[in-house]
Amino acid sequence: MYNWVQPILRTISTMVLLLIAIPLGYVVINIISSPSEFTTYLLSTKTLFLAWNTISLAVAVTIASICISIPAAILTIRFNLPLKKFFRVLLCLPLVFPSYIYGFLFILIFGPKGVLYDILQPLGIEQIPNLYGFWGAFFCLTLLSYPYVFISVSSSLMKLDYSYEEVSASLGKSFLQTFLQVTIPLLKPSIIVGSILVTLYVISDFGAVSLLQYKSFSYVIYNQYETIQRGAAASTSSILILIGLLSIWFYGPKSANTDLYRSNAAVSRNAKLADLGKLKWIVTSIIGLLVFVGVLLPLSVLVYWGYNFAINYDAFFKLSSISNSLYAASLGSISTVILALPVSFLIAKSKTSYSQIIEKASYIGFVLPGIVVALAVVHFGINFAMPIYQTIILLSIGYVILFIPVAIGIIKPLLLQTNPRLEESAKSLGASNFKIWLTIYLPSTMPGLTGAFAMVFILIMKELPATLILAPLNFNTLATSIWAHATEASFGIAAIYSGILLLFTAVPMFLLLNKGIRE
Amino acid sequence: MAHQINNENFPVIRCIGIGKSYSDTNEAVQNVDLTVNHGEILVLLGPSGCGKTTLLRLIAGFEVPTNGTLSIGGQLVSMPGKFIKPEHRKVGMVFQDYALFPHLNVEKNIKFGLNSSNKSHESVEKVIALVGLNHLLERMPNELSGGEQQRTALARALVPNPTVMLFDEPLSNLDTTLRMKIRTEIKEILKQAQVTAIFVTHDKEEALFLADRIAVMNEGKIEQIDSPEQIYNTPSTKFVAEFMDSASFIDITIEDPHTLVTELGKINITDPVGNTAEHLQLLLRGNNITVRADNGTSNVDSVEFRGSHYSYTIRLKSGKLIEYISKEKVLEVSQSVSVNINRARPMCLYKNGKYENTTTMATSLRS
Repeated sequence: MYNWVQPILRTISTMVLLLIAIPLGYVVINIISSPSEFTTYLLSTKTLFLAWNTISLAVAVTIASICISIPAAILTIRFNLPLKKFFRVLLCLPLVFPSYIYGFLFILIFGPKGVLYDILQPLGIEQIPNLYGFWGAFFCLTLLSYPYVFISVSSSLMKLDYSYEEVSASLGKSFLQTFLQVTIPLLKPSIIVGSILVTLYVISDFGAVSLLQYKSFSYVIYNQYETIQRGAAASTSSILILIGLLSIWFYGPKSANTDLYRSNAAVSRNAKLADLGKLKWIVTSIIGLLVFVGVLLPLSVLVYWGYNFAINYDAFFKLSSISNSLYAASLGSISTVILALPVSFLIAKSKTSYSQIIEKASYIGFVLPGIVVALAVVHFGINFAMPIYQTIILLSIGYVILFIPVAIGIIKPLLLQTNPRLEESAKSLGASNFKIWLTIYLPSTMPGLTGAFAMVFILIMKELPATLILAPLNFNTLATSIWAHATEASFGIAAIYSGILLLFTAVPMFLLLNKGIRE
Repeated sequence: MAHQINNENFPVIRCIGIGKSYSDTNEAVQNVDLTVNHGEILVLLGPSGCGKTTLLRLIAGFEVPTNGTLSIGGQLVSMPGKFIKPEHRKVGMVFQDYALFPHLNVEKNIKFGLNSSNKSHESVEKVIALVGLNHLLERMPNELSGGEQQRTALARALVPNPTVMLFDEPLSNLDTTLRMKIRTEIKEILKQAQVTAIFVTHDKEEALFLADRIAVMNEGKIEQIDSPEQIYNTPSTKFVAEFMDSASFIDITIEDPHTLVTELGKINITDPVGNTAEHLQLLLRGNNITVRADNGTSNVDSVEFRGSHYSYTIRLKSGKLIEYISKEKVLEVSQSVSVNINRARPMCLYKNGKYENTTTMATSLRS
């Protein structure tokens, strides 16, 4: 039996490997076909300027996210702040916003003639800082992506054995000394993991930087594609991928020793909550302001504009965008999970060099920005697969490449956790290999499969650049409709589409996140 | 409760009426009085949940007491309305799981508590030599064996020259052989450094080995504080007697001040007891009775082999079960036997469950 299970797994995995190779092949072919042109492009002032824009934004947002998240995590976990559980939830909430929705809400609040302007004008302040460019993108992306660090740091702070801090106190160190010499070093691995996610998020963001007209790579690649500069778009994409890989390399060695800290639930004590005294209310107000500006204000503006639109109905709402979104997301997530399953089996249960290659390759998807995958898949469609060009199939291929790492990341640990004694006892009872797969491994991955399916479904619903580029003509989804209307400044209808998209994605996303944090 | 304050030694820790309650019904530590003298090793012994760790954490300053006062090295550190934080108490703490900082190597762990004011590097060298870690200074904690981690934690706590060292079950994560070795090392190091120490454990053998004095705790209260010998030989309550070793209590009635009547016969005693209506009992341990295989009124309920000896459970005529210990396998299950009290040993009398006095037998037992 085993003899035919293994080749099937290998064949499917190889197919997946080839799919994942499409974006890399696209980049490599572009470089090889005219290396001199690529080097000239790479070293041009324009490219260096773009690289500086992208990297400086990523570094600034990552640093700001760390500066927000560490105090926020410590204050809401180790101090007796009022409403701290409520704040802990609200501080994670920006994650549910796709960046293109958050971007236009940000413009509606801080932009010319926005909410802030309306508030400040009666006070005699006519001049507000220009939102477009670096500072707008910086504030917008920081408020949007700091939760990656916050969630990572909070969960390891909650698990952190409090006796380290008690030892430090018994050795005469003050709260601040203990914080700097013990707590921060122990949280370092989780700070790094969160920072990697923020950096990659900023590097590959398309929606927010485009709406805020900040010339980073994604924004420029899309414009090059729109104006049919194929070669330039390919070269820019290559550099963007290189920056992504470089950032992983930069963090890589530091994140390797994440097993530094022990969290032995049996002996760790619950931390005592420290008291801030009178400072408590100042600190609560600052955190309150953060979640107000970051979450409550954007949500209120969304509701306000949606309501405004509903009464001054000034554009057509297309119901088909909902059904298209659901159709694309279902097809994409089902194909992704079906393909992720055999790959996860192979990675988890076979320890050959081939399975290790597949494992490493599957992570590359994490570094690939949606816009680059989209361009590569378009290129692939035009040159090698014309019949499926401009069809839902090509769109699904794009989704598989983008989101299969997420699905594998959820399914693989469950397979690894399956007690090997189960397989051994099944064998001792005379079960065939096929029966073992069917009765032991498949059921043990079921919760993972539904989780992976839900997660990929949500990510596809929210996905913008690949959908924008790969979707068949006149195939409008919620995401592309929001984008189209937001770029034309029809914010009312954009708010309606956004509200519907958030209902479809935010609620399940929030449930998944909450479950993840608790585990 | 026998407090013995040796006048040559001055008290380093003094708890008066210390209590900690988490709610009206949950009192972890109740009204504890405790004095520990300079250079003394005091062991807090008791079953899990008896409040011994909470008492230790109250002394360290990790918990705020609900009532009572506490002073360390002559300084009042805790009383109603005043609380000195752990970082200002000069107490060294060694945790059950050592809590070595995983991001620092052995040397940096040991030197963690140093600052410009408290000690010279000379004494660091001394401490490192004392615990024998010279060759391991560059290692990370995860590269150390259990015993090496233990010694690093000990050295780290010793370096700032604490007034008192507190140990929270530091040996419970080690295997038996290593535990015996390390406890010898700890005792030697503490005695050599002349450090005052409080040591929490639930292991009575460990307590008997390490302690100058033992405080046995139960349900948040101290049942008895005494030397290890006194704790074992003259336990002040039934709880202490049963916790330290298997113990049976048999009822006594007084015939006259020199004659006691028990289920095992009449006993003539040297120290007369006053005539009293209180409930009197006699403590019997497995090694202070003798058992003869004849057609007596008791019989053997079960036998267990314990390696160095056999432990027999004997059912007396009244149905009461008592333990008898013998090196040889002399009895069979359900054999009829007669039980006598070993006259060579002192006997502890209990009045209403509390220790009353110790007496010895005057003449032979009359059946």
